[in-house]
Amino acid sequence: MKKIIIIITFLFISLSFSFALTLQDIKVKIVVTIAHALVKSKNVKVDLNDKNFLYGINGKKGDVVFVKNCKKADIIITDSIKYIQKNCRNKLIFVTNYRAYKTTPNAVGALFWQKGRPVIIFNKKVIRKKHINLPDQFKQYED
Amino acid sequence: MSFSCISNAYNLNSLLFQYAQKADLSSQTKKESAGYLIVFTRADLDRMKIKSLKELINYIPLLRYNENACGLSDVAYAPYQFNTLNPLIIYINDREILAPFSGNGFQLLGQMDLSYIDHIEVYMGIPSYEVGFDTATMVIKMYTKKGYRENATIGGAYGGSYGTFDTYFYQANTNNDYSYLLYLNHRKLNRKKIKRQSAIYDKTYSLSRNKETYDFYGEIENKNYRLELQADAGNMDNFIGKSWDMSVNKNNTDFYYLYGGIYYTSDDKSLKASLNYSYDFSNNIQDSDSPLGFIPVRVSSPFSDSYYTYLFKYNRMNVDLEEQMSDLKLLKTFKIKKDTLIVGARARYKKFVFTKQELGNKTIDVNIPGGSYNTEYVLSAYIENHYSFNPKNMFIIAAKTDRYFENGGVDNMYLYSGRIGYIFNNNTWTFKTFVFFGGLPPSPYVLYYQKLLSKDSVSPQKAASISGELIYRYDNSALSLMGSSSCYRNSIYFDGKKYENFSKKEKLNNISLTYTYNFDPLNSITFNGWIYYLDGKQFYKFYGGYVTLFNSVGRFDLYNSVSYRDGYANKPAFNLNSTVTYHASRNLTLYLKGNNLLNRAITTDYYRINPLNGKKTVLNDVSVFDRTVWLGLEYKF
Repeated sequence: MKKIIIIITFLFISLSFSFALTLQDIKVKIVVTIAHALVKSKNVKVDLNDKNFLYGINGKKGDVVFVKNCKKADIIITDSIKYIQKNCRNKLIFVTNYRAYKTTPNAVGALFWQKGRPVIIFNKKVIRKKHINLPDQFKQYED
Repeated sequence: MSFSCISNAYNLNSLLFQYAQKADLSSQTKKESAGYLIVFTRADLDRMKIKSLKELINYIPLLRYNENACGLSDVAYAPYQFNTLNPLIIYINDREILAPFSGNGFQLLGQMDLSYIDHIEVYMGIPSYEVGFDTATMVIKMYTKKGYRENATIGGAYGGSYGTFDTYFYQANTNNDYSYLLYLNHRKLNRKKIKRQSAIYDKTYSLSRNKETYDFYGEIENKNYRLELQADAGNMDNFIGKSWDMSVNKNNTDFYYLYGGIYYTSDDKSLKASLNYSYDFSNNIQDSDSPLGFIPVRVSSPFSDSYYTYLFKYNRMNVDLEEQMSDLKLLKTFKIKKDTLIVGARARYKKFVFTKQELGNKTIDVNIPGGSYNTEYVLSAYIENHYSFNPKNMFIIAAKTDRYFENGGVDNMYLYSGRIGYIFNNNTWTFKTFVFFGGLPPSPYVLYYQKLLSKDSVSPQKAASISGELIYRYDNSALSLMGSSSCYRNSIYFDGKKYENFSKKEKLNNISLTYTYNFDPLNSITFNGWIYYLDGKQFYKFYGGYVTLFNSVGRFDLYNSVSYRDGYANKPAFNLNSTVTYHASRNLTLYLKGNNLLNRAITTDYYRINPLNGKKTVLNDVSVFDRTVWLGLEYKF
């Protein structure tokens, strides 16, 4: 009985906190979710390269490590490929606006606004080329 | 915050929805300190599939949607009471939508398409001058879609009951330097026709409120400048119009509206400036078996100011009205430590000319009394100070002055108003209170007809109001209690012959309670109830409320709502609205939308009094919301 009360309390607290998230918390959660979908290793390294999207996130968030050096990163999140060092451009690049997605053929995916809603897209060609196996629940986001 | 055990299990759709809500454009535009705020986000409007502003009135406390004898949206309509004070001012972005003559924008916009609108903010309780220069008990601000949030080309269509059909197309995009929106709409809004049998003429009349409109809206903006253009044209059937016993053979208006505005915003200089110009033209033709009006002859005596005779009656009228409005606005903000000082000024020009008045077989020139009144200049200036004691407590004080310069022998008006407020806000509680005192001007419509009807002038109304709101947020819920008590002097009413100022005080009290529970980010329920008392020339109570339920199940979005209105001359009314949206693919959306499904929505009464013999003609229980079902689709190219 005690366990049930603890579980119910935990669920209640989890649900309660879910609505108190700040915009930054939500963006971090989205990045973490995307990172885990793209890279299966336990400590995925993400380089945030778009200050307008997310700023000042360092260290470990769950199983994702935010790094400042693109060479160490598994995934680079940016609003334009021109801001990425040339020797990092073969990494997984995830872009944060629609125009960058249209002009960056090797972008693995994008998060951008369309019809007033945030949209996530994974580029099917790049996914195949990089031999990424997206989890089933993410297939709906393939372009 | 812990991500370890559940990070992979985050529901991405749910996260994206939360992201959409938190980063909604309203988070950049809303002004919490400006009044009591209700926000309809882009996601809300999308799920409701709101197709005109009149539908939204059901979810705004203290308002009762109604339509006047011309079939135009009018929340202040009461049978046989001419327009006196418009409680509602509507903005598209920073532009006030206003018919210069009637002083009412809701009549223009109430039944037009809203597909180019992103989100809507409602400010209740005589909001700050920062929201709108003109004093109003309520301000509705509609914000257009932005290219940087759309990145799409959209086509849509819907149709259904009574042969209504609407098509729209918009393209909105951005590059790094600018973004734009182009929008086109054609709407054929067919309404239920009201049949009326006339014993006098032994004839059945079909009273129509159909409207057909063509709209264009364009907007281009960069970091500092925004250019807005709008062009609307159409025709509408104007229901009863002026017919003395509602024996209408024809009542139709053709119109067009042109608008251009340029806006400058500099965050570095804390400066906003805008220049607007609008022009509209309307031609109204009415033909009736009974008279539509008469040209009176005013007989003055030392004892009274009434009409004892008339020159002639007319059964047909053909009237052209041209209106122009232009304004220049400046807004400068100064930040000094804990003080934010906002200084605003506006110069406005309004012109309204009846370029043609064919009454019966006679053409009336502007030499009739009042006819020479056609121009109003308004100069307004305000100063507002926000003092933040700390991040949780804010004190607000504001003052405004308006100078109305009228031509044609109409008296100029000098108005002053002030506003004091206090706001407390933490994560759990919000408390706001405001005190307002000041004058409210009559519209040019009232001034024009008063000049025509009487040698007496009407004075501006004076209002004093105290209001407050308490919001309590806990877990996934929010509870809000809002109330106000107001006192009006010099209320303007029509006594059957001319406008008068009511000599006694008019008291207005209201209270509204709203509770929202979020089951999860995609599913929520809201309850609202309100009471509105007016004790003045008339005494009446209104009651209202709604229950609204939003749900998302797989690819379906569901919206269901019942709103309730009761009191005054209305029977208890329930309006059930439902929308089912199916996201067939990333590009295609289908939806089914039902309005007034119970056929028990609010009804209104119309009556006409023959001014020569006093005979009254009545048309009761006309539903202002038709029972309709619309099927629609939207495609992203």
